[in-house]
Amino acid sequence: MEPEDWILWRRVRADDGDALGLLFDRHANAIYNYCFRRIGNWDAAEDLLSIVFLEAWRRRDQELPRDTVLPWLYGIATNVVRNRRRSERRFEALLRRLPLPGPDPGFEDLVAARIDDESQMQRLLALTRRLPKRDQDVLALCAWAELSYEDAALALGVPVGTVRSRLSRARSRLRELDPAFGHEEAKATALRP
Amino acid sequence: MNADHSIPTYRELPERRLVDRRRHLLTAIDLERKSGFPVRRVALLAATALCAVAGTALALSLSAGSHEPNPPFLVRATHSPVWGGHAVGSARCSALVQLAFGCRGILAVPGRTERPASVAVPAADATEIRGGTREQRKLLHSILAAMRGNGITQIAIEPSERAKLTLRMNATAASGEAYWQEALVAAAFRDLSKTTVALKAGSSNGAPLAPALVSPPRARPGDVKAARSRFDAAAEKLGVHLEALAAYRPDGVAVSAVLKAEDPAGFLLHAMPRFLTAIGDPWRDYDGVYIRLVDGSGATVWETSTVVRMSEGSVGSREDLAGCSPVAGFGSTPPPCPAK
Repeated sequence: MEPEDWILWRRVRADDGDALGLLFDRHANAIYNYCFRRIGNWDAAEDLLSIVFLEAWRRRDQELPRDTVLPWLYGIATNVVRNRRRSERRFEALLRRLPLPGPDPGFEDLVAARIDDESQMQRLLALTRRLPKRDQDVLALCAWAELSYEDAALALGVPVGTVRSRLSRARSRLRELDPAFGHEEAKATALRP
Repeated sequence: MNADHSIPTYRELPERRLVDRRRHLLTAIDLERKSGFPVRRVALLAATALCAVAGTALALSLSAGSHEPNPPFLVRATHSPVWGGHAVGSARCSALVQLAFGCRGILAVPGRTERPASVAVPAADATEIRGGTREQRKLLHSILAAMRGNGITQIAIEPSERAKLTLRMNATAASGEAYWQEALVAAAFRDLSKTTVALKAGSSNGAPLAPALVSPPRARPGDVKAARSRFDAAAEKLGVHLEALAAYRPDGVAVSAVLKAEDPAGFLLHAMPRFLTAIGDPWRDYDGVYIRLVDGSGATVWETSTVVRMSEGSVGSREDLAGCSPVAGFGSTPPPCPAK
């Protein structure tokens, strides 16, 4: 049986890089998609994914209770996305040392679809960027990443009640901005498969 | 507004990319774990030193060379005087490097079998410079004029989000030597124009260059001749065959040399350290140094470079010869040198 996240995190705290590798294997795609949904660019999301996990490593002195590792990673991702330019500067060495992507037929086939995704996401982000940043964070975590209110609260370091009120305010405001907003939610793909 | 606001499909990173990212992450944390220094304090220093790797790696991976099956060519960053080291040192991981970063974190160029191409020399004044102000173009021309024989074919001066301007460069070949020349030009331009510059060349994706050194290695009259003489004398003293030698003066003195050896392993192990000592200190006496070793067939088996103004250093080696290299690079322990 695979060790739970919090067990792995305990190993990370004891300086075990391989344990972070296991956490990466487990959550990389969720964080990758979350980053994409915050910025609307797949390539940049891939870089941010690396940054999130290296930042997690750098914060390994943090003690994390059971079932809080993934929300905590979302919290890091939220900060990394928010401070994207600064993050990229701080982690420049990491990014610049990445192996170059070579030809990958399966990947190439997705190029057109990825471009469509980016256009679609940019349209959505153009709308949500009219919200206050803290409301954007809540919306992204709860509506797009499908975190529970409790997990979103943990990720953002705010009380659960605050998450509820911000989400409610964000949805109302978006419906004011575009009455069609929210009607597509049934079509939306969950962030976690 | 009445657009479709549904969220794009969940996509997984292709397995290969995921594996690359994971390996890269583990390499990065391995470096940090062994650093013994607060990571954030050294991050900038590491960035300045390691960017050489990316550039050279790209250059090598893109290089148009022979497709004969050769052992992979590995490229690593070296340490620089930013943290008090010297590029020329023991073949083994020096104590300082071990202390600062550990001697792990190899950056290989996976699957690379091509030999790095040498830089073809374009016709004189062949570099096309576009964009920017007249003064900026003039300054670039003057730097390039002092680097006659360089392989840079185009420079575009473009706006930059993260610096005052971006220099986008192309060269006749995507090689470690070309990237070295581009870095020299960009750093000299940054210092002489007293502006912040980002570089797009090789794999430099537009990131700003590190801040200028307090005392950049500016050349004084006679320095170029003296540098040439040092290389000639070193080659003569050691009986080394100097295939090519070029001295540039982008602002300080930069020297590029190609050496040839029939027994590259033995040469790297025994003669190259003495050659490197004889030419002076690449971090103090030069703006930059590029040295390439070719084997009897003319294939590149080893190369090293320094760009002092950017605190960049790199070493590349045919994989089986990495253990013979007299320049220590970041990376895992190399295989034993086949020479005794």
